[in-house]
Amino acid sequence: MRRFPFRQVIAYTVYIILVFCIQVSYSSEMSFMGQIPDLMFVFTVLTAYYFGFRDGVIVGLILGLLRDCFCAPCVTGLDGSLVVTCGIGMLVMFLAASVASAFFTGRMKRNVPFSFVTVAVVTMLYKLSGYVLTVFWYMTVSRAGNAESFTDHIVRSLLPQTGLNLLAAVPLVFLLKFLGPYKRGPAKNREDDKIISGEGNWVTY
Amino acid sequence: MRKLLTSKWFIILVTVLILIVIIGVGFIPGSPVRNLVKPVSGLASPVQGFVKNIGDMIGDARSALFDGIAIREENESLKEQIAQLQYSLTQSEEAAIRYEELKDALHIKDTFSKYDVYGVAILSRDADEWFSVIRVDAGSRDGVDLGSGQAYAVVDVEMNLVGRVIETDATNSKILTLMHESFRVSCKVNEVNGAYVTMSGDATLKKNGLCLLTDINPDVVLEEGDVIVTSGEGGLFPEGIPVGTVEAVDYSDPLNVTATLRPYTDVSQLKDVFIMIPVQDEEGETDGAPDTTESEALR
Repeated sequence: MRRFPFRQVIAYTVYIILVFCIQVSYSSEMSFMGQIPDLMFVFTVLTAYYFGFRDGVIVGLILGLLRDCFCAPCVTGLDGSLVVTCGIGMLVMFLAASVASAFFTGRMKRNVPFSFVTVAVVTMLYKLSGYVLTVFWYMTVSRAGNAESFTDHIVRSLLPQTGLNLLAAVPLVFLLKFLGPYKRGPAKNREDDKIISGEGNWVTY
Repeated sequence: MRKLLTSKWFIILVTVLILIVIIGVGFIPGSPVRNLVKPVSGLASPVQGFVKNIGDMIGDARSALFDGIAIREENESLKEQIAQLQYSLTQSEEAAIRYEELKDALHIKDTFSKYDVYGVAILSRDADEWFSVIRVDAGSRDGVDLGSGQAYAVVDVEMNLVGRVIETDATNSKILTLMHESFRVSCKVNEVNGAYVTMSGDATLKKNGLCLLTDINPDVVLEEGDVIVTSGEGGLFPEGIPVGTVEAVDYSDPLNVTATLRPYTDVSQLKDVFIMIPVQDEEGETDGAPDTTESEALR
């Protein structure tokens, strides 16, 4: 019988509360060039990268739900009225965790430099797919508002956001590596996604 | 079968499908989906408030330590201002008495007399450029109860337009700011018989803190610095709320004259805002803003 994972539950709960509270309470203080470092997104990506698919999607869905509750996207609906959406945050975080958990598997798991590469790549994927969906929505469904040009989006949204997310990843990597949900030390076999956790052990099944 | 159910790809596919269905159902008017997540919001709000208070206390303590000299200088300056304002107040009292006499005689209406103004604190802000709704600490329990087709104007301490309330629950309300791409309001140039325009948020312009003005009559000459206020057309917002000033006008396409507007309010700096709620008369009907659909509200 498996022991109840107290350490994981407590660590994830504390970090989820901290990350979400800082994100929604102090976003204007962290803003740079109109962009805000997305702590919730980065935390989800790093959790999935370091601790695998299961941990990543659970953390992602919880943070996504909180995101949907507190600052959900608002769009012009099919009938022209404004709709506060529900579920987009969870979908974004779930997909981000799924993609991040698949990054650099094999011999590179838990490698710190590659975690930054993962954050950068997943952020770019998020911004690009978000842009495509926004343009699609404006052009075909809503027909209200204007989407920005692709170049503008790259220069003024994607690049600053990627930079800020990389900066935000520094303390989060530190937290997850040294004060994370799993003890540093000998590897443990986790059957859910066949990943061995443990500092210094990059080999996966 | 067990292998399929524990397959990562199967889990991803099923979860994505479920989430897409949830998102889709959320678009149906009157959908109960948002009600399902309200308990989560109710549970998380106190926790977020607690952490925010701790953060604010730390910020205040830091300010108390480092801002002492600046506060002393500001205090001296404010004392001088108080003396000047005291003098102005004495002068104004006389003018106010005369105004009240003339107001009764000429049947002048106060601009926002039919609105109750509720002061609320901003609880949470946008998470990124797409997750960009602001939450404030007043809901239906506090009298901010949004009926179908209604919207309440939100202003800052100087009565400049900040946005509109788009959703309320028992304890919180969500505000769409005027920089958001989905925000649209009918406005006019603040002068006698001023031209009507439509102000909306724009994805590109908002990064420069600007909004877009459209539906400008090509025969109208808009100039840089023109003051834009809400027109009151459609009844969604009261007339005369200051919005901002014209920054630049583009006459290159005579059929589609556009202009950029710099809003008076800086949403990122706001900590408190005010919700304007139409006063209900004795029969329960709202005096200030009739029920209206989105399209009617624009014009």
